[in-house]
Amino acid sequence: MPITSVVVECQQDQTHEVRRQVDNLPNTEITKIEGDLLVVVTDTDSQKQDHALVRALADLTGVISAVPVFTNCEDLAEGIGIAPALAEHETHAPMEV
Amino acid sequence: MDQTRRKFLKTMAASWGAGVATQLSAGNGSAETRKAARDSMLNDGTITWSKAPCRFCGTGCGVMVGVQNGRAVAVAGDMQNPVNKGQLCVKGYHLPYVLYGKDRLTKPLIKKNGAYVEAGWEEALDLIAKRFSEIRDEHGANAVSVYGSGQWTIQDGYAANKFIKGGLGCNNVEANARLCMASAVVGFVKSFGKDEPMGCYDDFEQGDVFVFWGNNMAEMHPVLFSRITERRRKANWVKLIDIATRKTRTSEASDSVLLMDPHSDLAIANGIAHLIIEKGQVNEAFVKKHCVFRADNEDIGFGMRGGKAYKKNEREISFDQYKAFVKKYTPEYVEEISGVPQGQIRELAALFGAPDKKVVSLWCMGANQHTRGTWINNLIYNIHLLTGKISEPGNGPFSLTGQPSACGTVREVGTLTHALPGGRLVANAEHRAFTEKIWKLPAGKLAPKPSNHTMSMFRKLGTGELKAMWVQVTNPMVTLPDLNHFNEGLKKHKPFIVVSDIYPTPTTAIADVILPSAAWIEREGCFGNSERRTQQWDKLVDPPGEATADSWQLIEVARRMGYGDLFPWADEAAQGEGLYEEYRQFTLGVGKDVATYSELKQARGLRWPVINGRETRWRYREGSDPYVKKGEEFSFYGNKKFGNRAVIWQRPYVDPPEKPDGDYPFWLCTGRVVEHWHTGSMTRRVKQLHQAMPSAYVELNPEDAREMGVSDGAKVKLVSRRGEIILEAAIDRRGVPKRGNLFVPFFDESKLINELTLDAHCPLSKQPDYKKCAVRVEKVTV
Repeated sequence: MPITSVVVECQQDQTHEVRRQVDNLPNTEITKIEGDLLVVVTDTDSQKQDHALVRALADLTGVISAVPVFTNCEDLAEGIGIAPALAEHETHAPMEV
Repeated sequence: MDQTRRKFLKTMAASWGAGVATQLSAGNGSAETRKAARDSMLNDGTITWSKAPCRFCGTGCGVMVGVQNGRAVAVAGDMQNPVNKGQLCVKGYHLPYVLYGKDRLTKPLIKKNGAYVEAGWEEALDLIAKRFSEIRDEHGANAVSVYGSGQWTIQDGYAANKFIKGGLGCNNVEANARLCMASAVVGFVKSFGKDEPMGCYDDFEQGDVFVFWGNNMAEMHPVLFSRITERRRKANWVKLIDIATRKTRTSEASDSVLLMDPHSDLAIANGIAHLIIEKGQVNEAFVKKHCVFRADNEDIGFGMRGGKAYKKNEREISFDQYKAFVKKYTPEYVEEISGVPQGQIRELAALFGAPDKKVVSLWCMGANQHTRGTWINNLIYNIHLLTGKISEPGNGPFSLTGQPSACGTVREVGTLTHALPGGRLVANAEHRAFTEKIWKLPAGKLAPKPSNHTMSMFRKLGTGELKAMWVQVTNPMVTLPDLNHFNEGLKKHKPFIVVSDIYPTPTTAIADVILPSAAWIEREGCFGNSERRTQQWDKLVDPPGEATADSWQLIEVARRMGYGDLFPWADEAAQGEGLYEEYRQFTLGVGKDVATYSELKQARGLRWPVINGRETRWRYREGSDPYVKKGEEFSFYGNKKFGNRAVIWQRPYVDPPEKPDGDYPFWLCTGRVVEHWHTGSMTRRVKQLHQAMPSAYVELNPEDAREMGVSDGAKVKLVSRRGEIILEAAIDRRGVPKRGNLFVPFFDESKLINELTLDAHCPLSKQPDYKKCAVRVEKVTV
């Protein structure tokens, strides 16, 4: 299951408030605070949850950016082979040329 | 995953995050924390970590790739890489996934009786060599072409260039960088005599003002943008100025947004130059010593089919003539053309003119995909030259790139019809002779004239003049402007098309032969990024099925066509270093000296010119650039004919070839989104990215939408003189266009916005303008 670390950059004087919001998010743990930067490790059950969580971090009030710096997806060995998102469009049929 | 393993990985993630945070904040003990992070990875016995540059944009972020049991299973920002200092964007974070889509091409496919049939490599390569040879013999070498990309590795591009120019003896090799970077190339060459930026990313930590010229850097180059926002966080006097036709995330982060009408950047730039002169803020000592003034024809057409051709009439002018030329670009006149309030123009000019402010200009497609793309590049340089704010830390114009090796492969290796490696030209007899010597060709083998630039190539495919094309690592059936026109020509003339790619695309759909390519870390290679940094990576995993490197494919066909002597390397393993080191010979002594292969294997990239293992951060500057002699202070040594001085160009504002009118009242601008890279052929196969941004849409200004009675999410039809498309309306979402403007991203192959765009291009650079054409909006009744 995906494990990701995210460096969250907070607006000046907002670190405490961002920290409070992160504490309320599920599957997250603040592992380091360095000035206005928080290191948040996420541990979720699916890529969908992982992705949503990274977006949620970026959208928190007082956050300038939330940048993923590490992700592990070794349990997704088969799941990585996502069915093509494009299949529904049937645009790969050979053109008549 | 068992709990012990999970705990271990969480520790690793935390450690890596701590290392990056420390690196970013440059706090005490950073080296110790970084070392702890690295050690935690190295001590993991189950995952092998190796460096590589990111596969996507031109930033050139370093990544650490974790490989387990022959598969890429993890990725981390490379803390040792000075480009990104451990950070990644959402695309980089999904890098391993793009390798493992279920519909990866794994075997050669040959179209037989309208259907694709699996074939062996021998059959496929023999067929390509046979058809290319037949076409060459019957119609001449100029009927055969190769079209690649800024995603080619340096090795791929060099092999393609040598095959076409040294083997076939024609100049029909081009790359999709013509669609994204050509105006930057010609702009640099016209102003400085040599291509590529003088500055580097280190400017982002030293500038006081950052001006974005039609550049949504927050979404297109997010890691670099974060370096700039970090600079502002640490230095509260720093200003970000966004010049744009729509409000974006870059606008949100900026201190000031100049919302301009499309194409009016030409007037804005001239207006700033005028104010700098009027206020007496010209750096006279710099200009006198290091600049000349020149003018050219001003009525040069727009590269339209059957339109006016560009004729050069370059000539020297005086400073007084230039001053008289820009005099009419008063703030009032510029406001009239651009819609930008004159107060904002004055404020921006004051920042450029202030002697104590270091200014960095940044641009990418907004300036380059422009029917006057070369001109606007020159005009931005003019401002920096007039003020002497160039080639020094925190001061400089910086042209960003969109592909990982648009610079390294296309611009430096010269995979364009007019170019030879190392900044040389096919039209220059000395350059051809040098190339013939390196390539061991008989004198006179190389063709002396450029043949077809990209637009010309595809126009000739459409008229039947060009009979064969090999497309590698790009997707022109999504990216060409005015696609319907090209489709009609292809159907009529049925050229022989080969496509090498990793996934099926609309371009593989028109191929006679499809070749499966190895991607990114499935082969070794080198990329060159926006700041002249060449980066090398090793092969880390095997490609799927029978996929191979593009350079190997090219060489195998070349051998079958009788050009085997050009490629003396025994196999793919030998080609990586062999092709690079031969290419490197072209770079030595011409100010583009790239590092040796062995140096690159050790380093996180090095910025050329690299002399005695030392990279160059600021070109043309004494003490930084080894090509500048002591006492010269600055030397624009690409312009020997002008006494090593840069050129300040007289370039006017002119109307674009198509403007909104009664029938087509809106401007249409196309572009990218942060989730997808270019045509989405990789990122749309990553489920999370696809879900985050599943399909194309059209952004409308809220007031325009209200007047038309269009609500967010409603379907609307866009119609241009060339095509039409139905899209979902996006109102007040991520981007908000200026009134009268629309924005549509081009990543969605099921909604081809390029069926509407215009194939007009900059007559100097031949780069098409995807940023403006006229359309109308019709409500769709469900």
